[in-house]
Amino acid sequence: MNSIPQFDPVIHPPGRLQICAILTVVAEAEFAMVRDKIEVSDSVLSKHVKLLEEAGYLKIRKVTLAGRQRTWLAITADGRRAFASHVAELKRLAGLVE
Amino acid sequence: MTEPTDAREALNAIYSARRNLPGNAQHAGTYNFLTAFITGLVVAGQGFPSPWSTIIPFVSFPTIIFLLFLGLRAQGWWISVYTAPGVRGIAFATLSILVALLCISVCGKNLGMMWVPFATGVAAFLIMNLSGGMMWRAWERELEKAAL
Repeated sequence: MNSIPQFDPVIHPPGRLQICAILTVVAEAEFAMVRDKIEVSDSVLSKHVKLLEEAGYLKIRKVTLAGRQRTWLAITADGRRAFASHVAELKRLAGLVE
Repeated sequence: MTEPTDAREALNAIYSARRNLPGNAQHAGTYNFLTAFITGLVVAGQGFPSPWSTIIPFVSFPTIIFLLFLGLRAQGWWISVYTAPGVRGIAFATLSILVALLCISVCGKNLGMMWVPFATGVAAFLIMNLSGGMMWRAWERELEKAAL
């Protein structure tokens, strides 16, 4: 699917860009796994997740099992579209300096 | 608006986030093997005499769910065989073959050919192992494509 290049300031910061990069290739990812992959603290990831959720790009699911809560993250259809458009814009811009 | 050099850095950030994602699934092969074994048992079990044809699925399905749960907890992510591109076709083909093998097991029992369920069980085990590997490779190829 070809997306219309469009810069998205919500997605662009490196942390949020990496969160979206992971979530667009899996159905769901656990908070701790994403935190380890992008090498940020819990609080930094929480802030990114909150902003993406407020923009409607991310869904959060909390599961409690054996007294322990785990948070699962998934990208929404809007988030997937916005990320694809943003990546298309990045590729267009990167092409300018080749 | 971002500068062109920033765009390159951003694209690299996307690539590096995705690159090591399969590294979390060190035990995927073991889970796949065990799931294939149980699936083979279920397919063969339908050709076994009562009460085994009932007991085997009754024990096997919760075991498969438990294995999936363990795998999910160890990996920290999962992919949908329905939405992941390249994987869906393999999943549906596998399911169709397993259903056919299950029917052959039942036919074998009805015709008194007791070797048939054992043969279909082994076939189901091999097919599940093969399709598991194929789905994994298909997803990795998609991951490479998605990583620019």
